[in-house]
Amino acid sequence: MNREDYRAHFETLELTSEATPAEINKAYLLLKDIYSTDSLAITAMAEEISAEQTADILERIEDSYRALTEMFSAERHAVTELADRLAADIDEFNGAVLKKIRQRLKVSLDDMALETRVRREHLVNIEADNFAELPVAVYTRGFLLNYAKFLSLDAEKVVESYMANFRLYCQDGAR
Amino acid sequence: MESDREHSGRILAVGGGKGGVGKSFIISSLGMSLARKGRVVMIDGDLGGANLHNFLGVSPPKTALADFFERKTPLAELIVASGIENLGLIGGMIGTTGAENIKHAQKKKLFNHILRLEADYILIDLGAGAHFNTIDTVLLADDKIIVVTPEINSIENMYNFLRNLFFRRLGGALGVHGYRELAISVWKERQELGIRNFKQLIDHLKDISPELHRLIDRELAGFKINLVLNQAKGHRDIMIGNSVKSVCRKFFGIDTLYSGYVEYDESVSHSINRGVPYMNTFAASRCARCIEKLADNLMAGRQVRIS
Repeated sequence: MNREDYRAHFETLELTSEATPAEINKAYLLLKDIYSTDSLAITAMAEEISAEQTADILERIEDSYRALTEMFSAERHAVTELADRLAADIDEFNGAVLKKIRQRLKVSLDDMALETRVRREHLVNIEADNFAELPVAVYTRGFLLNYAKFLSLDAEKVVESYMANFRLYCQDGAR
Repeated sequence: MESDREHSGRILAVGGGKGGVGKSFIISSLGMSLARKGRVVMIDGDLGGANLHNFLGVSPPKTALADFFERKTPLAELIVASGIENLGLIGGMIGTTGAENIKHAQKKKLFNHILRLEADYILIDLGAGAHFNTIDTVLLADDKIIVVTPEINSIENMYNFLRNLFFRRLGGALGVHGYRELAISVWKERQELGIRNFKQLIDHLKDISPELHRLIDRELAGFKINLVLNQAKGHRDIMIGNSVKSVCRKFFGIDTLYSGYVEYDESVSHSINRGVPYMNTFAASRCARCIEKLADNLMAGRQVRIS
């Protein structure tokens, strides 16, 4: 998809190009609703809007949604493949390893915090193996799960490996 | 118009076709909210029907815009205390001169004085209707706030206001480049040309020449309006703001931000009638919180988040 098309699709869905897949879904459903029902906003200028025009707009909304969804799934696919390769030979998922994978996947902590709703400082502590500052196991486990899923890693494997270290630390009597 | 000036205050103007949609309530409440952040000067630009003082709970100012036009009093000297800290008021004109009677030179002078006012926020309340003096004042503002209610008449009037607003701006730009007559003739022949709406007219003009295309694109790019939906009685009403925004973007091609909605509250009219400022008396109400949110959204260029 070239840049112009890309921009146009986002514009059709009335989004900026920073929009996330979740926002795209939401915008699509909203717009579809507006242009397929008798919205007051359209009735108020019914004289100027023909049925064909509304149909045309609906079609453009569908097209843009499809194009963007396909693009995101292709992108997602590429990320998953790379993540698989990066994680292939790793037995121990400690903080440093996770950080390296995240950086190779070009994911920022800020983006991750925003999307996973895990506070940035927890993510930093995970990557630093800073067990003392992480919350109790049940929460840390949850954060890790989100972390791993966000990077398209095998979440179960990551959690199991990381939590083994975390438990060892706790058993040492620090907690 | 707003790009070639230097002033420190941010100008917010509220217009919108229909009377009684809550323009004065919204702008006065925004003023009270912004007065906690900086110095606010509020101008009652509803010439002929000035009553912004009622919303602030003060009596009509003894000096007003009439003095600016008739006695040549500098605008800054017309600011009176509003009873609210950090908020000064410039009264309008009651029953004397309507917006239509302001001469071009007077208007230019007024705008120059507005731009030179020392304030962080300059808020201008405007009367109903789409007279070109009202339109020009909205065009002067950094934030062009348009208020609608969830009613078909209000939305219709708002579209009309928007058409006038953009044409006035475009007309100015086209006039400078000698395209004004062309635009008018296209509009006159719209039926034959199969032009049904604003967007189609714009597209038609753009196709005429590359220069015109660039010119229109430039005007459209710098043009943004802020939509506010007032008197919302629930989720359905709030969503109407979203559809109006979408129509403005798709059929007018105008960058429209849905900056906020304000929930209906019958205490609003009670407050106005009793002469008490709503924002102070009902600071914790849902409606007051909507105003606060609206003020934040406007300042940050954010929109209503639909959940």
